[in-house]
Amino acid sequence: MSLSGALNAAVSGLTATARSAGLVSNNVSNALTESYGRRELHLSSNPLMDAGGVRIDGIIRHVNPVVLGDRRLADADVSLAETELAFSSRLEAAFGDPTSDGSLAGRVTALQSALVLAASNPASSLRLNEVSTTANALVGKFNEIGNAIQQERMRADERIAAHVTTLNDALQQVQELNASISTAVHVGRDPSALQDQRQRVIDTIAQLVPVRVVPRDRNAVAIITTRGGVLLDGRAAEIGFSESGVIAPHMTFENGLLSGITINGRAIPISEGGPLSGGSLGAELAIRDRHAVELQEKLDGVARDLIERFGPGGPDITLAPGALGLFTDQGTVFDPANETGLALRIRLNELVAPDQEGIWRLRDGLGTGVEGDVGNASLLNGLKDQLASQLAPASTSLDSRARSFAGLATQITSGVAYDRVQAERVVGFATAERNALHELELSEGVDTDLELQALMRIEQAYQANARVITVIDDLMKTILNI
Amino acid sequence: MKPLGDLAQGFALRQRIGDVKLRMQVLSNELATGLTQDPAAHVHGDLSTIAELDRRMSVLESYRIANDETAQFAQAMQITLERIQEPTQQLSSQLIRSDLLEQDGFATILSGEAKSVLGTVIGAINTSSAGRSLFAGAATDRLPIGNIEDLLTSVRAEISGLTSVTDIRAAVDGWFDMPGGGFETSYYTGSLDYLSPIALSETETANLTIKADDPWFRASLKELTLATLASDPALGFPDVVQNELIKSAGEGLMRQQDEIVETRAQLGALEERIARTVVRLSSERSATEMSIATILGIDDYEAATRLEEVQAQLETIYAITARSSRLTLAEYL
Repeated sequence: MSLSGALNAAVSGLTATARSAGLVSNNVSNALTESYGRRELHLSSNPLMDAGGVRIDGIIRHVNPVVLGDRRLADADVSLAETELAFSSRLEAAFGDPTSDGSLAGRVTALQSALVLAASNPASSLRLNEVSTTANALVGKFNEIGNAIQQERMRADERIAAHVTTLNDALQQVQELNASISTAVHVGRDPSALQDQRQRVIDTIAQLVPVRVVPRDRNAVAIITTRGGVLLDGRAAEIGFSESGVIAPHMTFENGLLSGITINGRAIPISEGGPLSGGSLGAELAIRDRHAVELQEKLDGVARDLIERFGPGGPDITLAPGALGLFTDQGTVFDPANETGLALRIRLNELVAPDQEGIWRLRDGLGTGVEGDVGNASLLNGLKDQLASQLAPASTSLDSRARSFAGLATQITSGVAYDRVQAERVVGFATAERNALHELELSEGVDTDLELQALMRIEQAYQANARVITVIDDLMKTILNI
Repeated sequence: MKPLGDLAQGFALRQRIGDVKLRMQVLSNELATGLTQDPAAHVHGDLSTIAELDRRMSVLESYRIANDETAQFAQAMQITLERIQEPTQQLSSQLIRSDLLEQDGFATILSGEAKSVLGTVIGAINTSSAGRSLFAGAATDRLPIGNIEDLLTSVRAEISGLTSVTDIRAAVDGWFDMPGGGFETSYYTGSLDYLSPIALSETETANLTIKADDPWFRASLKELTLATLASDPALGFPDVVQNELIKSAGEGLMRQQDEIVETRAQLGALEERIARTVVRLSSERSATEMSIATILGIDDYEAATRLEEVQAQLETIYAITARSSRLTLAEYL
């Protein structure tokens, strides 16, 4: 090798160490960036026989695809669990803690206490009014909880729309990044920063739907959900969903009044186990179409029991068959065919509304026209006993065991509380798993100690190369000065 | 050589600090209140027992109030019955004294006494307690019987013109006792139904079945009215008839004493039953309160110990975090 060859080799060494220093600086500045893949320079000796020196093969972006993939799946699990926990918690709050007065169970107890006091002194219109007020508060609570459940469905519907928009945008971005990365590699530029960005965008997708990322030609990737839906393979899929405005209890996905999800125009099953289930998108769909609907059905069943307990055939013997009982379906007689959404429509019979002059009918019967003896507590005792009677509920949404009305209220409240406690447990477990994987993922990131050690070596190498150039320069000068 | 990313070192410690601080907050609250912070989780989601206990507490409280009222009502009845029994008993022993009746004008004196006692008895029957009539049955907003003048006027009209003791007796008996007679149609203004059975607890009831048209009320009023009208100047009965009537009235009143005593004894037994129920419900309430505390309560000692452990743990994590943040190569270059 000639002197000029040596000079070239030394210059290539300088270039390589300078590039290394640049990478070290990039790494250190991004030490706290989460989706950053640690860069390292890939060097090899120059394969051309006559020239020497070092050749830069490329920049390696360090990332552990296995850990990354597992962490993304764990992210989806956590999103799913957290969405369901939030739903359970809000509903538990709507029902209330049974030991507090404002809860559903608390309002049933208040009615029971008011009936005890009224039966003890039926002449007191104050006490009769208290019965009316507590009964009104009880149906008000049913209305409130029913509304809360439908609000949850509307919120879920809104979130589905938002998630679908996010998903479509993200898939578009990944498609574009795929193209940019392919071009960069083709042209010989470093695609690492674009790959960092692509990783970030796929992370946002991974929370909505559990995905597997599959490498394709020319450094592109395909995104497929774990349950077989193709989101991106060459071209991004178009996810379709139309948001409903107001949602009422009778509107379901099954009867076509609520929108489902389409991929590239084709409708896909959205039940548990459908192609888009497993993340927060799947969770919101399950809430809208299953969890909230089932709870509404149970609540409607309890409301129906309240109406039927105090209707014709109950303690009020002045009621003819088919007449309006103590509780009504928005002022009309309850029809078993219209049980859906009953909880939002149940009302106290207007004849015995609070602070009205018809209060005496609570004592004398809804069907009479004339006030009877003021000391007659037989109907009030009857109402009080009927509330505590063990009766089997007529609705098919509830189990057929005979219960008191307080028992029904407690049963449905307990169910919601149990769901919330279970959901908390699932969130705890999923979060612990995700954290462990995340820690593993982060441990493969930038270690500033290592980078600084490398920098020390790079500094030495740079100085050595520079020294070599200086010496060769002197040698050349010596020759030229002959 | 495998690197250990900077972010990884901080991540685990940050999570731990967050968890431990949350735990500390929950323990502090539990220690302060003595109750668990999350009742639903404490009973693993099955709230039926705790809800039932809470319901029972409220209902027991309502029954406590109701039973106080019922006890007062029964007591008022008992006191009023005493106010009827005493004077009628005294009067009855006077009325049958035939030797006194021999004297001239004594019949008039006795009739006067009878009228005074009749007034007292009518007043007693028309007593209310806390705005409710005691003896009007279910019509607690009405007086059970009319006033003394109406009574005397009606009966006077019934026996005016009659001469024999037997006839007068029969007429008075008819007015008071016959279904459709004057007492039922015009004088008694209470309800035909007794007060409804009063619930003392979720399983027991009390029956306060005493009202002013019961046989012995009628009989007492009848004999007193007869004694009063015996020497009424408007009727002008002869002395012999007057004495006979008064003596008969006295005997009638004496016969009623057994009835009154029996009724008062039954009422006394009921009062005692109410008192026993009140005591029983009160101890049931205490027991229920204790059950709730047992289910939802937490052991102070255990909570305090755990809180200290958690605080020590937090301090240790802080120390480790501080130390390890200084251990970087950059510090030494």
